[in-house]
Amino acid sequence: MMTMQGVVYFILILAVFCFPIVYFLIGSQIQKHHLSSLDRREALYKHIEVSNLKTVPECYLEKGCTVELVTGSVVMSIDTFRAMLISIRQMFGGSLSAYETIASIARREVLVRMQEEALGLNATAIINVRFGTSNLDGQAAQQQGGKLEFFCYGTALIPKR
Amino acid sequence: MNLSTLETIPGKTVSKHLGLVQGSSVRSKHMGRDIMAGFKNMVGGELKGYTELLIESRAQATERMVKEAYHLGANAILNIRFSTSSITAGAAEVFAYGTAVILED
Repeated sequence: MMTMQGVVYFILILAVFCFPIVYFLIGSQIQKHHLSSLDRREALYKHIEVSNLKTVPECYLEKGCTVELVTGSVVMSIDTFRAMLISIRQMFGGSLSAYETIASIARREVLVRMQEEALGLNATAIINVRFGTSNLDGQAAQQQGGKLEFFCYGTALIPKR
Repeated sequence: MNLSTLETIPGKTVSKHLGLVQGSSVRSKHMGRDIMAGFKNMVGGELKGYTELLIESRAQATERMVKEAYHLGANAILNIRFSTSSITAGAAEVFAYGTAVILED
């Protein structure tokens, strides 16, 4: 017969081992949803050219244009289960694909957000784009491995009417 | 105030350089947002509270930079760069810098 204490332990053990898997499943779902929304929005803004060249294209110089600073940023996190897998993977070394996925999704996201802002200003191109990355965990980054911030900024070119 | 990451602005000439201007900001969100972000951190994905934090910090850093440029009598800041670093958990430092100039047509 199971005592009350036994039941509590059973639930605790279940919680410790199963919850991360639940997080993993929810996390995968969130990621899939994010990717499909990115695909949709990238198609929407693809007419806004993005480059990291410093020179303004000839056609803009002829017609005349104004410039404006545009930015995009996002803070992404990794689910607990993937974070656990990463710490195991780090013992053997090699590429940490979970982080790579997060980084690539986040970079696409910041570009799309920057393009969104540029579209609001009636811009048709963004030049001299730069990216930056940092983490929000401070000194605890090693233990938490969680919150990563990504941002990018550039100069939007708005042609004169 | 004309803000740009370029070294020159098309159709305008730089008549005077006024030197480097900068602005920085370290901000954090209230505890409730931190706790909610902690829950969201379990499943991964975007942490909207912190994205907001980052946008606010950058706006404030830019504002401080622009204010400095105003005091110098500039009408544009060129070659703007941003950088961030982590100061402590849940706080972001955003640092913006550029060159204040006077532009003429």
